[in-house]
Amino acid sequence: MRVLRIILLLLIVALLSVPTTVIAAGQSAEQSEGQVEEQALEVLTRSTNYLANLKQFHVSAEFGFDVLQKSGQMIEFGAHQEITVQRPNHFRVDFTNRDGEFGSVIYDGEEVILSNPEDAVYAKAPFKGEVDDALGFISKELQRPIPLQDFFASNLGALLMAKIESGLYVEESTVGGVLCDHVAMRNDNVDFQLWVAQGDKPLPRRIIITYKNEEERPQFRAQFLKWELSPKIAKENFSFIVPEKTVRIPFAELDVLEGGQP
Amino acid sequence: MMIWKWQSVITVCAVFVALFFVATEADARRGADNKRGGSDKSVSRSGPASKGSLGGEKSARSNRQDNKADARDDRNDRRDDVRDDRNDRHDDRRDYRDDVRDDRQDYYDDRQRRRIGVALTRSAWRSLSCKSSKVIVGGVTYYRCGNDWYTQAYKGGSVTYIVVVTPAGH
Repeated sequence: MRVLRIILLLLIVALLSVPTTVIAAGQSAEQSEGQVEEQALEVLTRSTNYLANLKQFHVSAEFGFDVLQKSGQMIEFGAHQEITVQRPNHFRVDFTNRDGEFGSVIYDGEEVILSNPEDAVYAKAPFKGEVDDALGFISKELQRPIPLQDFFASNLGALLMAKIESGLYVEESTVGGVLCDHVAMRNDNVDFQLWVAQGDKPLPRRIIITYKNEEERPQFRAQFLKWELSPKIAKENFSFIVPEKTVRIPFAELDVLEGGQP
Repeated sequence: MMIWKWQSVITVCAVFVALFFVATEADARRGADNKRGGSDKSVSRSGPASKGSLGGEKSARSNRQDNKADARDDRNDRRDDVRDDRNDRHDDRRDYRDDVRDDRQDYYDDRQRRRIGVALTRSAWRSLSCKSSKVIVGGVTYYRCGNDWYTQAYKGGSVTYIVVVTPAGH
């Protein structure tokens, strides 16, 4: 009987303590909302500065993104990308979509070249500028934003810091075997989480972007699998040798199509 | 007596659990069958998250809000313009009526065709019912499919087939 009374007493104590714990947790969440933690900002600044100052690098990444269907179901698509950048004015991105489509986007300082071996076609447009300019041209004029392009633009820091409403240092976290700092930031358009490697090479290892203003809040998720900071880059890496039976086609956004339209 | 009662309770529970698993299994099978049925042609493959942009652009939703405010201003301007335009329209209507008569015949000839400038994605191209033929005219490669003529071009970074006007002499 005595034992039963003790158990009952313990149960009552446990039940009473639950709401208090919940309230305490809620309060701490509220406190962190709207604040940018110094530690989170420091992780972000360190990483973006480091990336912007890399003269050249190669990184392979795997990414996926949600697409809301008419039925209301969210479906994920994605791709694997091999990115090579040599500042100030060369880059190459080779992509393989999960549906098997593959191709590349090359900028050699003089021209932007898109190619799709599966269709045996390529297109090119003259462009002179630096990496950031070429990314802007491809994104705006050719309407072909390259996923993860923000990570090889030199203004990544400004882009991430702009209008940050809150920043949280979540914890130390291991991604792909690398010990990282996990931060979670919010601005008026997106919430993003970034995992940055600890140590003297603060490279991003993973990112999740939540488009919170869009219906059903779709996400973009990417994992950086392998960074090479002194890659062996041959000159041919940034040139496109037209394979046999491959034909040049126009950009609908730039060229007047034969036949007169559009 | 008590033992018998407990036994029947356990039996009833077991029956419910079994029914639940059978139903779940049937559902899963239906899902698998759907998958085997091939991919849905109407699946959207891109959306706001597909670019992985870090928020440099305004979302479509917030753009919609701005558009609403702009629309309000425009509406006031338009009201003034409408008054002036009304008189011009009266004259134009007569000319238009004559033009329509001429255009109707042309439209009748072209109505079997797709609109010029329409871009078909690779999968839409592959699902066309006609068998396309490759025709090279003046060094340019065209694809003919029924009454429509197409040319390949990158649009939005993807290879597409764009409806063009019929090349001269065809």
